[in-house]
Amino acid sequence: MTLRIVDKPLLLTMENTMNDQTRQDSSLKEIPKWADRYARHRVLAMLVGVVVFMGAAAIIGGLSAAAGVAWQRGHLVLAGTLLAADLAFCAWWVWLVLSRRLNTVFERAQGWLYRGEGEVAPAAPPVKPTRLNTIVGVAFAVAVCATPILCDAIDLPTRYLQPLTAIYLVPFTVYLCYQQRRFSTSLMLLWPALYTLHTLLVLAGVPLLANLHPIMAVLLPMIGYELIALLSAHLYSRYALHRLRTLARVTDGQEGHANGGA
Amino acid sequence: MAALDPDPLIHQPTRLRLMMLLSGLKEADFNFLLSTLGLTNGNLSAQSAKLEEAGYVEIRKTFEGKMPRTTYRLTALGKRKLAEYWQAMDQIRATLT
Repeated sequence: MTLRIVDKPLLLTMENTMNDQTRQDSSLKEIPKWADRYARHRVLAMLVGVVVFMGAAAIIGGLSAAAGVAWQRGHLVLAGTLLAADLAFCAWWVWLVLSRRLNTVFERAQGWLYRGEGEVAPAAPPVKPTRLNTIVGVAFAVAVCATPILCDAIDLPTRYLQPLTAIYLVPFTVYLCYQQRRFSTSLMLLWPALYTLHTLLVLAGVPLLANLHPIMAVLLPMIGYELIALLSAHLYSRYALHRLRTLARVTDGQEGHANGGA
Repeated sequence: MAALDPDPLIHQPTRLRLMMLLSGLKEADFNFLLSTLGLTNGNLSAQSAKLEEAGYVEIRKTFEGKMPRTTYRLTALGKRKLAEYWQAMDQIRATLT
């Protein structure tokens, strides 16, 4: 005679333990994904970079505009001084960029901004600069310089200046996002996407930024949407870090069990 | 399929999480691992030393100016052992369910 004892509570406990272990395994397997997402969304230094570049552009533009006003009012010495200051600032800025000292400043800024969280490097390999980068950069610069000439030549109404810039700015920003993909994600594509949407609305007759100077009507959305994309990426990095810490933290119970295997 | 035994070195919860964290990154520094795993300095140092001894993790100590900096990365052996660990665990789970 075979006696079979079925301890239902014990079987249930074993089954629950197995299910818990399976769930824990699934959670653990998500750690690399969230680590990667967190590493690729650390964009605070880029945000600072945009603000710094905006500041530099404002100083260069402001000094230049002030020199023009002084010249028009006959204050030649003041105009000359302001122009000299403008040129000196431009030269210093170009030296900062070409000598890569700006890169060093941003690297240090990155370290300081994330000092509470530590340093990580994303797993994706670095994107090597290619000749295509130079071609795209030159083409973009040519397009920017040609825009006012083209507007004058065809007598384009000023409200169409921003849509015209979208023809080269959107592909250029998409290319930039692709080139920076190691440190960025598809969230940065918000930048060209919003700029495109803005363009479509302007073409449809919506008076977006219509009261501003035409150049500001281009610069504000260009920089503003980049900041929105960067801010979205930064907020996502907070979420990714929260998920990562939730998955990766060792609890006291786990550590206690582990000491037997230490 | 031959049965695989989960690597006991990796199976320890802290070391497993440490290796899973590093497998999603190229490298990470001490402060990041400490803050993300929620460990003490001593615990992280001890557990990572075991992994380094086994050749699963590479630990580099450098200086940034006067500040010491310790970075960790998973070695090729560590990546392979981690993949084998999960193969073994998945096999065991499949057998028991």
